[in-house]
Amino acid sequence: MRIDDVVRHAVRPLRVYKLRSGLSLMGILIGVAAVITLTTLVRSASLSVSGRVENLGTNLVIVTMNPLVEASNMQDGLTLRQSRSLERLPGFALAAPVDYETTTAGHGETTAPVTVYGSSPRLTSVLQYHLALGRNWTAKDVSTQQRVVVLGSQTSRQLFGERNPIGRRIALNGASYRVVGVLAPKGAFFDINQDAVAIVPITTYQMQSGIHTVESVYLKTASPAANPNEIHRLEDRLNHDLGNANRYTVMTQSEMLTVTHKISTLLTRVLTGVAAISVLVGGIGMLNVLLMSVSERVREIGVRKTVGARRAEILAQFMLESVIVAMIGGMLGAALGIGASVLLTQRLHIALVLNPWIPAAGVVASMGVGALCGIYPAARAATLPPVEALRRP
Amino acid sequence: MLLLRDISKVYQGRSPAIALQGINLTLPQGEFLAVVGSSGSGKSTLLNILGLLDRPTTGEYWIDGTRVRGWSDARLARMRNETLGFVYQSFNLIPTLSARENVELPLVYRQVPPKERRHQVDLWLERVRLSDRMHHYPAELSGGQQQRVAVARALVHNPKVLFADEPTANLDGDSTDEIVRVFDEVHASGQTIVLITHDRYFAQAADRVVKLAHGRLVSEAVTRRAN
Repeated sequence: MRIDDVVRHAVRPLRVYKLRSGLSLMGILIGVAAVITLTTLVRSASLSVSGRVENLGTNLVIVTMNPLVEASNMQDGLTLRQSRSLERLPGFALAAPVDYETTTAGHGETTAPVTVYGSSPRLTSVLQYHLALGRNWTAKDVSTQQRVVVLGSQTSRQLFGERNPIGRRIALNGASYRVVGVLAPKGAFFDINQDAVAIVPITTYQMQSGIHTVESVYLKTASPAANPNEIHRLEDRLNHDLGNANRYTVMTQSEMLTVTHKISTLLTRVLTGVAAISVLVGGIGMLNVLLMSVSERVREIGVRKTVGARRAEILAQFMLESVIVAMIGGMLGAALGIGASVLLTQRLHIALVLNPWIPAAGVVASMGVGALCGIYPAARAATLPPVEALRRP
Repeated sequence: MLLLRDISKVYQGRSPAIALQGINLTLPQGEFLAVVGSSGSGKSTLLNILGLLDRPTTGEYWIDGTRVRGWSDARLARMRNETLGFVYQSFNLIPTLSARENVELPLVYRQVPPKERRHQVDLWLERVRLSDRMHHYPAELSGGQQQRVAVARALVHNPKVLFADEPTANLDGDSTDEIVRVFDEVHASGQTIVLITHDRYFAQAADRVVKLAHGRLVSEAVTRRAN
């Protein structure tokens, strides 16, 4: 049998028995789509997180009060004075204390959901915000507990539309604040909207909230990357101020990168395993349909053998059918996986990082699964004695 | 052309069943042989052995001067493809292939180039008067038309022997006449034919009629036609 005839005879049943072919490729399609979507999402998310962490600077160190300590004894956290004194530790360039909460901002009848940050003027530069309008409030505003606020671009738009908000007043937690500046848009990151923010002096924030400890402190070292000596000095000071190392967590950017990498590696392995299982299940489904197909076509096999088909030709035809079904399933799965990845990364506001080898590997792997699943049904078809095959109904 | 010497076939099982015993038969080239007998007499088993679809338990089978013994499945397949053609009661067309594609099947397995294949197929579809139906699938054809496609498929590769197992059993009168006409035509052109039938009218078209009963050849008669 010529190669083109083998292909023609293998493809024809797929066209005629569309439902059966569709069912047999469905498992492979879903499996490959799952592999591509999951691996692409994990990779995209991981690289986005790493990129953000790196953008904030490898010299950033974040001290966070542990939640249990805060809940059990709120006054035992760092005071504003203590947090400021961290800036004077050798090797550190700046420290920005940060408290925050989610609330609603209002202007007249208009309201907008907002995350309010209480901090020092340095927070905007630490978090790499840029001013689009007006100015940042000053250290003097902090020391005199002024009710001034810098708004995120979305909050400004929601409260004031296209009007200039500088000099106007908004309500936060029942108090009136004067808008002095508006931040340039930064976009969303995962589900965190970075433009729905209001940054106020931490002294004003603490006066309003009645809590006089800080939840976290963002520090930057003078050197390009935090080194162990600087971290030890910081921890010594925190142990001294708080009396207990369990009350806080110090996280450097390199540690965050390592954690991100570890989580992403673990997630990739787990999800790839899950996806591989779904491909396998798809393969078993395909094997089932192929076996059914061979059973239904026993008479056809008998006829082919009667007119001169050899075992190898029957084997080749059924194997090729199986590989083609799996290949189509793999290709459709790859297309679906790419589409789903594009859609999901857009919804999660992360950059799509698609390794072109993954869809290609998905298609090749599905062809392998097709060949593997096709061996047994094809061998069964090939070894059927013609006289027995012709007796079947 | 075909020679059977003391052929027997026993199906092994809990109680072995003797399907054929002591069959001696010679079929010269160009002869039209009809095999008759009641159901279970061993007619189909005999055809399967003659058609290289099954192996005898004992005895010798010679085909075209060569003894069939210990042949591999591949050699048997090649021999069927080059030398034999088959027509069955239930047509046995492949439902996913058109009439044309069904007819060309033996040529496909013989690796005949497409152009030559097309010529042969067109010729045979014309002989069975189905040129206008060549692109139809079996489900789109009547029983008689399907059987004519099957006859064309059995003869398209110019086999030395045509085997037919009850080819008219599922057909109405007109379709039977059409099949008998085709068989007459090809026999007249020198085709060797082995026909298994219950149809006495069709059997009379043969040169010789042999009767099987309980796996044995019990009678043999030369028809008036042969005379």
